Amino acid sequence: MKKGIDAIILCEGKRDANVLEGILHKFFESLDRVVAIANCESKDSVMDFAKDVIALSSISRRLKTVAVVIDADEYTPKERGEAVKNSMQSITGDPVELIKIDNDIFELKSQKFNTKVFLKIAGDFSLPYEKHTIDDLVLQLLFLEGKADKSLVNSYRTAKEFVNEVAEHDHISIKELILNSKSENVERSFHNIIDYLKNVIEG
Amino acid sequence: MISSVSVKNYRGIRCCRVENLKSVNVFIGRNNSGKSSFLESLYLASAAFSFEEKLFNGKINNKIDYLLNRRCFRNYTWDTAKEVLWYEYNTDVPISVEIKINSKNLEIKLVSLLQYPVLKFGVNDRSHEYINLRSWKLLDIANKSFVTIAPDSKSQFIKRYEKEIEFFSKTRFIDDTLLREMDVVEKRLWNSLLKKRYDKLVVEVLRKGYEVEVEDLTYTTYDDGKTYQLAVKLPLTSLRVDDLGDGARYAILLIMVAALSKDTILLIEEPENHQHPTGLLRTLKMFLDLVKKNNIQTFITTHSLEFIKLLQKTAEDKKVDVGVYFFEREEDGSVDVREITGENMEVLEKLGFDPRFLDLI
Repeated sequence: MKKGIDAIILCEGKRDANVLEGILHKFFESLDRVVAIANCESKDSVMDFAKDVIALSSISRRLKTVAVVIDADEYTPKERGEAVKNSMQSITGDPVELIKIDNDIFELKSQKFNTKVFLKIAGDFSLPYEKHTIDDLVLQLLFLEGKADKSLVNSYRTAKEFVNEVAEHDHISIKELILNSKSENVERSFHNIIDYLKNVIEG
Repeated sequence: MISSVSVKNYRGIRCCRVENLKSVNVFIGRNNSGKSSFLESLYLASAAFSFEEKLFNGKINNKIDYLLNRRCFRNYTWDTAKEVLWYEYNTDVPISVEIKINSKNLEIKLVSLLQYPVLKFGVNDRSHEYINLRSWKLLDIANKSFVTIAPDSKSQFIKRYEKEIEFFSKTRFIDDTLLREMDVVEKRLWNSLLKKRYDKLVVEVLRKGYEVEVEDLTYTTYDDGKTYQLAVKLPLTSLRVDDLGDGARYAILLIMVAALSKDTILLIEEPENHQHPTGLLRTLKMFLDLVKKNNIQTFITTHSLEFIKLLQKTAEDKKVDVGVYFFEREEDGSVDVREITGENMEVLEKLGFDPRFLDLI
């Protein structure tokens, strides 16, 4: 019997891939599903994500799900979701439907897709930054783990800056940080992403 | 140009269809996925138009014997081993190759009662008659009976299929078997090559791609002067072509055959074998020039990603249309073929996904 990849998770870069790998290792290792993480580092992330999803989804035969994790940046989840949908429509020339599953999780549907396509907009809007990214969630974990001082939150322009300083100080990668943290803290800070991955992995 | 091919019951292929074919077509996939069988099925189809295989100087006389023996020479003949050509050795069902070329649909069959592949005769789907172009007899496959074709039907047929007969008659299969018979091939082709001064191309590709300081090509003798063989003139000596490295010999073979082919198809198996990228690139550049100039549709199997990248880059520069197709055998013997477009290839590469493992997704 051939064993293929069940789901591919596309993210914006190595850093995001590290976060997702950490979560998968911590919570999903025993699952009988093969999940691959691929980072599509690019300048125009929305358009490139759209191209990558369409390519994977149209060429695959076995893949059940293509899941995207993309930073919200300065947009709301809905605006980000619409941007991805519009990019896909402009590439395929076919209508693409954007279905809201949760506040920042969407499913994208098109006749051109051979797989399910999900979209997760990453970021924590409770943090006082202009741009919201997956680092918001890493920072929340650092607060829960007592590794970062919440009162200093306004001293940094982005969560990434804050996280980098802590990681450099402790000589630890983000993936290690997640793996070494208490499971309940990782669950609290990343609950939304963990739920998303559950959906993705379970198809 | 051929735009689609369907194959049934040939060797490892129970059924397979490849569509949207281009000027240069590259087939990738795991071992035993049906790539070589697909090339062979085209060669088999060409045998309906021209049965003889003239390059092998008596060792092998026809295309069917070539197909029976090219993978492993065991002196197989139609009478002793024809079943190896059939899917699961089941000779009860015909081997079928359907080809869409220009606006015509050709249906070629090989049935166990006749060594010569036959072409569907008549224009309507109700026809069960197939023509043997060697004997100009009609074969009714269902009733296993032969009838000689009427002269006016023959001329009508020739008129209708003139271009296709010409196109398929000149088909060549370039593989390691041919490379091993280089001396025979070179003797067969050399005069024609020299007449058109394509020997210059061979000299150029050896100089630029293989760093052999060739001044010219000549014929030299060995075996006490009894045997002549093609040799390269070097500054201080002459070297028989047979004594060159495999990479250079394969390049010579490819360029010789492509230079002398026109308005036809070439079937090429794993051209990356024995090749350093420099030699491969130089050979590809010249080969694609010839493909374009001589209107040759090419079908290539490969396991090399490096070859595909070099080919795509060179073809883009030379404005030659290239298609890449992934072959995957299913458990029931059907072969699924996926075209990997240029855009999809870029995405797979960017994501670090090797297209040769496309069966994983």
